[in-house]
Amino acid sequence: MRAPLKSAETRDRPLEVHLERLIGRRIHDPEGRKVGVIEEIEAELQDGEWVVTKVLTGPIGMLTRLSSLGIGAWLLGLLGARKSAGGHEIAWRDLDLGDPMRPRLRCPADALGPPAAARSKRGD
Amino acid sequence: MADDFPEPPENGTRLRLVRDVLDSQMVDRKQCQSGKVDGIVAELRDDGRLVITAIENGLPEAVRRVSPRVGDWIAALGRRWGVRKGEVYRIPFARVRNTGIDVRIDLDAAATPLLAWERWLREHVVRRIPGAG
Repeated sequence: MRAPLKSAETRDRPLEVHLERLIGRRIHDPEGRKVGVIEEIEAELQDGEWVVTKVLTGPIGMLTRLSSLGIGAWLLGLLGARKSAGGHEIAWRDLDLGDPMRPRLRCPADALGPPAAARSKRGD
Repeated sequence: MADDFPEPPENGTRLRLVRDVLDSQMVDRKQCQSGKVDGIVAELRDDGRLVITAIENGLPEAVRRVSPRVGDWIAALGRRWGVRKGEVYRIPFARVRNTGIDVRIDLDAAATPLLAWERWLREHVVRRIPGAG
């Protein structure tokens, strides 16, 4: 069993999310297809507040976490990793946390485009 | 000293929360190591933005990542016998001044429960060692 993301004592206040409990959760798209496992969460400073902007899934997220994206992607390629195994960068607005235990994409997985590793290899 | 903190980041600066914040060593304004970041709390605003509001430190919170039940047990044991009474200490994210290898926080850890175990050990163990302080 995984920890609930929401804090129980905050019902009358804005919804609280424990971001660390999102790590390792599998994301599915609306059709139930597996999209990937959340490995990293990115935030951006906007008018003095850090706002969550996207989550990274798959090996690309894990390598980013380990600060070894370049050499890691190269090594994965050497080891024969498929391009599709690269993972995705998913904008926060595309993620539905209605059931925080099972994060879902608001759009089909195909709409995410190629995995991040494949994009960077193409130089996008 | 607060003056030692680096310049605040510019608008648009990006932060990788797992790489740069979670499980990082916290260092207070006196350069004192003050525990690890065990949790990151965000608040879902009415406009749909998810805004980071705080970081947390405490064994129950760290364990809840793996097993909420065991985390709750540890919190209950802590309330009964723990030095920190099972408390998870929350630090407003506005107090976080720098991230990376260390997370620099603008507070005096000695005045918070962050160093409760260190204080307890100093008073109950280290002080009784012959020749100590």
